[in-house]
Amino acid sequence: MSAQQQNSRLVELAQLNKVFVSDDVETWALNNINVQIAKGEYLAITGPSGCGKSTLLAQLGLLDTPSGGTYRLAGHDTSQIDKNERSRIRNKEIGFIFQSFNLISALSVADNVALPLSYRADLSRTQQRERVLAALEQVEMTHRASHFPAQLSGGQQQRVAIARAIAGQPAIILADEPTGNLDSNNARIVMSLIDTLHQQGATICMVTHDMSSAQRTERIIAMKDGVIVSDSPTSLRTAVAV
Amino acid sequence: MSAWIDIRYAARLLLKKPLFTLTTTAIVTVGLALTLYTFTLMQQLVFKPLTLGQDTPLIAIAGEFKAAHGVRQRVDPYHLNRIQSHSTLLQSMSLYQSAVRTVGQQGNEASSHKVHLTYVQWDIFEVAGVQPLLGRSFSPSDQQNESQSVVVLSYDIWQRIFAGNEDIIGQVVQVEAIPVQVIGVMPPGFAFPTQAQVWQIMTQTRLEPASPSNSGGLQAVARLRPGVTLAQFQHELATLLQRQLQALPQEFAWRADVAGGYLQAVPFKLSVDVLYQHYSVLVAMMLVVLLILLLTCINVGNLLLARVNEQIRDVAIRVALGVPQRRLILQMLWESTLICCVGGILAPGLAHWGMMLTNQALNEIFAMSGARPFWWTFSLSLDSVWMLLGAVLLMILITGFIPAWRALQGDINGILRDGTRGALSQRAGRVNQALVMSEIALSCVVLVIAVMLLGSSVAAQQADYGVQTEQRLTASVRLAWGSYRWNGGEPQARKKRNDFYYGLKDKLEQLPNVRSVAYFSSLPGTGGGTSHFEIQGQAAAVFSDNPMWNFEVVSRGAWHTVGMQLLAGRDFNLTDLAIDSRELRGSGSPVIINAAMARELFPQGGAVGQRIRTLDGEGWHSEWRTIVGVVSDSIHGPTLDSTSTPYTGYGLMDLRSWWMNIVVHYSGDEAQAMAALQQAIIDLDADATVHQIQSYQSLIKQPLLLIESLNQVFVAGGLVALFLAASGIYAMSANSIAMRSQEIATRRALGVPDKHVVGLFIKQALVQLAVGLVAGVLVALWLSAQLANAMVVDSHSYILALLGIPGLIVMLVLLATLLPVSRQLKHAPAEALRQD
Repeated sequence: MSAQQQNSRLVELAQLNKVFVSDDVETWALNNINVQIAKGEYLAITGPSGCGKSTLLAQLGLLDTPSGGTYRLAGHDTSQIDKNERSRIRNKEIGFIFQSFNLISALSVADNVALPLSYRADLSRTQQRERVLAALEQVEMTHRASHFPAQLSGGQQQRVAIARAIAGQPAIILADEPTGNLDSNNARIVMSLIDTLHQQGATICMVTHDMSSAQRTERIIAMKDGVIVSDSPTSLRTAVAV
Repeated sequence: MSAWIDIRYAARLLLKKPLFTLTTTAIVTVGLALTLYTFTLMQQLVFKPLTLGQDTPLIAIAGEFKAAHGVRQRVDPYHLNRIQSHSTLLQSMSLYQSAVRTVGQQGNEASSHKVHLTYVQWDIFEVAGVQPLLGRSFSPSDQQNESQSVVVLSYDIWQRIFAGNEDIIGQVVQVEAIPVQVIGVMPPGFAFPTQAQVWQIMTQTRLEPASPSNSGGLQAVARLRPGVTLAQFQHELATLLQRQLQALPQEFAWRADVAGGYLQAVPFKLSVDVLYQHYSVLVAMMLVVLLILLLTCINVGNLLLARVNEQIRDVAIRVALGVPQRRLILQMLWESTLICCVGGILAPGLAHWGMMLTNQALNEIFAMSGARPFWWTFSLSLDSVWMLLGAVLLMILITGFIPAWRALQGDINGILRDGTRGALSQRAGRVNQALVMSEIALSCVVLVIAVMLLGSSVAAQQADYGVQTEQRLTASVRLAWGSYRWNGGEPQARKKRNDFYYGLKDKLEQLPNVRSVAYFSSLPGTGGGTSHFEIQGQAAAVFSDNPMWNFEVVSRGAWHTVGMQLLAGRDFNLTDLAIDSRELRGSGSPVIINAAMARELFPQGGAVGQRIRTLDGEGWHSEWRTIVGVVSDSIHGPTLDSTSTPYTGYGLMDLRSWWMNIVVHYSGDEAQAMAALQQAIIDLDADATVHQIQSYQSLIKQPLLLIESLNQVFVAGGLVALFLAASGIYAMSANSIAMRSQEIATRRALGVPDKHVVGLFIKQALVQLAVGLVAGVLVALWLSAQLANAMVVDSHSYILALLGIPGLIVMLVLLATLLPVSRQLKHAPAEALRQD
């Protein structure tokens, strides 16, 4: 591996495990996972329900702690950091797009987008406002800035969620079934937005079981029963399929 | 059939969570029992009109209530008669006067007993609608006959003093050592108008004076014509009075200016002074209990709401499957119906137990005096059952409505799509906040009032009355009027009574186990009742600006017997008796004042030698009295009583009283001292009676027993409220936070630090606290102001209640916020997000 490759690695998972214990029964949700993601990469994690793809995304997003193995994000070992530091990393380095949007109903569209920025000490109020406007402009939701989530359609809510994810200019965007709750038209719009983000240089890791969405990415990791069964460039898989 | 399925479904849900079911049922039972108990108590004590089996309620026509004295103004029978003869709304009316007298068998002095005797107009039993069991009722001719008075005995007195003698009718018995003839015996339990044991006819002269006079002390009981309301009669009474009082001679002119009217008509039960005086306490108690009922409803509703939030997906599925809304509401109502019905079945048992305790407490309170109004015995009635049914229905509606509303307000599509943990809608969130704020406000009111009352009661019991009560025996000594009557002229009669009282004192003090003996008109710690007074040369421009004092009379050398000390000047002596004789001719008499009065009213010193006199708003005043001494402070009347005052003046026992309270400082055995006192009285005068023999400690405690038993209800209410507040606020808060678990996880996922998440919820809780506490404290302040009209609210309890309770609630709410938020934060955000 070249030094350039080494430096461009954003995510490195090595022998990562996640075990859930319930009534003395161990469930290995993730079993010996080894993944590297480079800066600017656009990849999809696919697999059937219960295969562990969302659990893997939670690990990548520092939303959960692993049972074993290591996770290095931008060269830093995340197993050694405390809760507050994890929060700070999530806030600054990671952007989330959830299947069910997870907008806060009591906050307006603009306030939802501004929420993660409001905890950033490195951004002034003006900068925060500018980033919110820019993010909303990018997803074409500026005209709905003062509306509340309940007043928006599902597609519009997801566009706001995308704006929230990109407003902080994170190192990586994690999307968990971003089109899962949308009709085909809205799904297409959302996927186009995500494609655009990638084209602008964003690192995107998307969990999906929709192969058409997965095939828009550069790399597909397939999982089954907590194990990675394949990890290959999309072009290769397409070629094989062809 | 479908209803049966719903009931079984509701029962199954309840059985699945036995702890929840037990908790909610216990809350409902306690809430309903407390309401039932208080409603029954208040209704039988005050609110339910007294009818004695007739169609129209009895009312009282009496003088203005003097809050400072704790009694009603004595009224002139002249006006009462004029009202009766001119009223078109009165159906019947009868005059009476309650008194304490001695009754015994003719020729058997040892049989004399103190009884509650009521002097009555001939038609008193006609107004009551009850006729004698034996003999006959009074007739107009009994009233005309001034030479031979007649009496009717209560069933209890007939049995107790006259051994149920079948030939009692026509026999002559003694009342105050004067022979009177028995003409009847009333049925068991009859004690009308309040606690009468013997009824004696009043003379025509007393009942129907030809012109206004200063004689008074009578009250009237009346019935209104069918269909006439009390308000209508009150209006007529005011009109008739206005006409009657306009042309009065100058000395009675003040009667026209009495605020509220010289004569006032009130429901008969409110003619009992202690009830009238403490009416605001009773109303406050009723209000507090209603608040507890409301708190219970909101609490149980909240608990059921929390359950609905858990079952919201089930509800959404039912809606999606086409179950009509009405059916869904019914399904939810069944759950609360089952809980409330079980509570409704258990509540009467608990309320009945409370009433048994109250009846026992009242037995204890009135064991000595026997002054218990006959309707003060409490039991569940048909009205109680109706009230219970109403309360259960109200509870079912409120507790069923809250969860049903939540279930049907939900976005069914969203719930089915997102699951139970979907973000709480803004509207539901606002309702949750409103419920928490109501809980905070209600519990604040209930707890503040409970603490104020409890604290005041405890402070009163621990108050320093300025006397020593250990090894002191007290009793009331009565002289029979017949043996000390005025027929020899007042100075001779006074000398005879004086000889008896001081003879008894000398006789007792010669006994080896008696250290000293003293007489007080009211002993410190008892009595009370205040009057205005003025210092010569320092009269206030407005009458009511004059200070108030409690005036008592005492025997010579009384102070050391109760542990008081003479601080300045001199004690009463034999020469004062001569001055006292002159006082009757208007020359003044000596008075001894307490230290607080000397210190505060004569700050430069020199109280001794100043002159002082009692006065009232009607222009009456006593003779000037000269201050001859200053004694240590003591408090007359229970310290809880608003009629108590720190200033007391003591006059020399002038022996115009027919009865005095004796205090015996003894050594050794109390029973031996009691026996000695009784024997000494019999030896001196067999017609004299001694009653209410008890330790000084019991005597002081007695006036507090009633308020103490009422306070127990408040304490029970306060504890229930505390439990309800703690469980309700916690359940509500925990439920509200659980419903926002996904929001918490989202915030955390977006990098919001945990301490900021906690801060967010604390901030919201503080807003709810501020609104709830401000509302609660304002209502509590208003209620405490009402209470202060009837009793002295201890200042420490006041401060403790107004600072401590809000402080406790703040802690409770913060705890109820911190615990569930911390629980959420214990889990990784992924867990909550996984439950999407």
